[in-house]
Amino acid sequence: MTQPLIQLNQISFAYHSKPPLLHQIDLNIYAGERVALMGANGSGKSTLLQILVGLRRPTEGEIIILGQPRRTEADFVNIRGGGIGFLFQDAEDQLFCPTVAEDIAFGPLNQGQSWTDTQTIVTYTLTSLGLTGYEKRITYQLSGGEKRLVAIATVLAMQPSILLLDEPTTGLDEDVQQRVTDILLQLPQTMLIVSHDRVFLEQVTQRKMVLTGGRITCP
Amino acid sequence: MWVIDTFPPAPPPKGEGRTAVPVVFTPLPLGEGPGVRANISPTLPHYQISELKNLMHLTASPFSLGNSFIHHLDPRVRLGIASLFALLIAISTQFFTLLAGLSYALFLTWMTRLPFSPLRKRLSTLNLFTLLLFLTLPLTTAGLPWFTLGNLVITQEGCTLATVITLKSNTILLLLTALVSTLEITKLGQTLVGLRLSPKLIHLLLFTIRYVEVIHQEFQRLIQAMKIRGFQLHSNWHTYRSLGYLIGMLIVNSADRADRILAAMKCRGFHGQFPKYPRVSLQPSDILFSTVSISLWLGLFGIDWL
Repeated sequence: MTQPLIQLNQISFAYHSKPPLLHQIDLNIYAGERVALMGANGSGKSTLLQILVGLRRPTEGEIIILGQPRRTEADFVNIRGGGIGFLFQDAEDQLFCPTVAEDIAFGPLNQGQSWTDTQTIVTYTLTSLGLTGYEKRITYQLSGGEKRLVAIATVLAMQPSILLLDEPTTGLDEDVQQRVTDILLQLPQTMLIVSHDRVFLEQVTQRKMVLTGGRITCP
Repeated sequence: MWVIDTFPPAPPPKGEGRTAVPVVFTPLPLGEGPGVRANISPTLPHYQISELKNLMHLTASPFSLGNSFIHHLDPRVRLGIASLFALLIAISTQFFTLLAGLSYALFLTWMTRLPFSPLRKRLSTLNLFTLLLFLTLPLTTAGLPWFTLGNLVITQEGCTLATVITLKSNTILLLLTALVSTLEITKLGQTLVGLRLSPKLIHLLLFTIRYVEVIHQEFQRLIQAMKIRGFQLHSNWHTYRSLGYLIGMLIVNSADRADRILAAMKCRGFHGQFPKYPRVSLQPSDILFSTVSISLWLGLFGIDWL
């Protein structure tokens, strides 16, 4: 039997002095799956994604990613970027370098790629997303849609196995939404997508999970 | 071992003609030039557009976009020469040195072929301040009276002092504009790293440059939301309290944003240090420029010292 890429066993989480947000969650995601995660605002969807990349630690439970249990910061450092790519809700948070090329190069350079290889990766990633010629553009001058596409490029440049996408289509016009949908459909990665957009999720994902009252249900 | 097809695939190895993934989209319209302009909706109120234009000068300095001899010089050389001359000009009191320095700075500025309008803007901002010095220093500095206007005594020393300050500040501004403003921000950052300056300060500089615009936009949004609900500046507690809330909210938002940015950076493998960029060796033009500039500097320094 194949092992899931992501396996959560009995994960619970609570913010300080607040009632628990996640309660004994079990979750398995297998290679090649595209899974939707839905739920009301404040139901803990983003928190769950943050737990998966180790930005927050669960109060109890076990996280197994790519076949290894992940407990310490060091365990998670190994999988960030190359193992799991995380697309943030607000592209403004993700793009912090002055130019597009520098921002895309940031991840691969952190992975220890050489300077020349990184340049190839930057050009390649931009070209494959239809963003040829964006290298020298100033990130803060990009439109909202361009920012989102470049943010996707920064994640893909690290060649992750799993993609966590936090509301990838929110705030985009129809054209860019369609582009994001097309891009995601072309990608071979395993994905966990948080969104409220039912039409988009219908197009992209194969199964749906809903987070309510701290538990995951599969409708 | 997990072997999973990833996207984008690794760059094709030499000799193997791997074709690109068949995801081809029409690019988004690029807009014209490096322009914020293309993104401005024509329905925005007038004042906001002018704000944005000002910001363009602030963050994406048009100065760094040129293609002159100076633009191609090594950043280390440019930063070094700029610091040397700025130091000399700052400590010198000889008119000869100051004028020679000014000529050199003017020459460099001319070499950069910078657009005139933003340069004039910079200079006029500075000289508004030196104008104030000319209005006050001749009256307030003790010394030999030059001439009198009614009861007011104008002193020679005061006029000299104001002139010296004007010369110095304009020279240093031109020097920095020609040699440092023409650097791309990241190159400046890398050079500072190369010069072993505190990494924390350098990060602070780079992040300030990147996010000052975002914070400013946040400020604009908040203040517009306030105006829409009828907020006007008055000299009363309501105004002070509301502005206090505004600033407080900006600080809270910025701190939150800083947390999110750090998290996003961690997710891309950041561990406290920026990746190092390859070292570039000096070109003949760098050596030529350094030799000429340092000789000039030594000459001026010698004359100044004697």
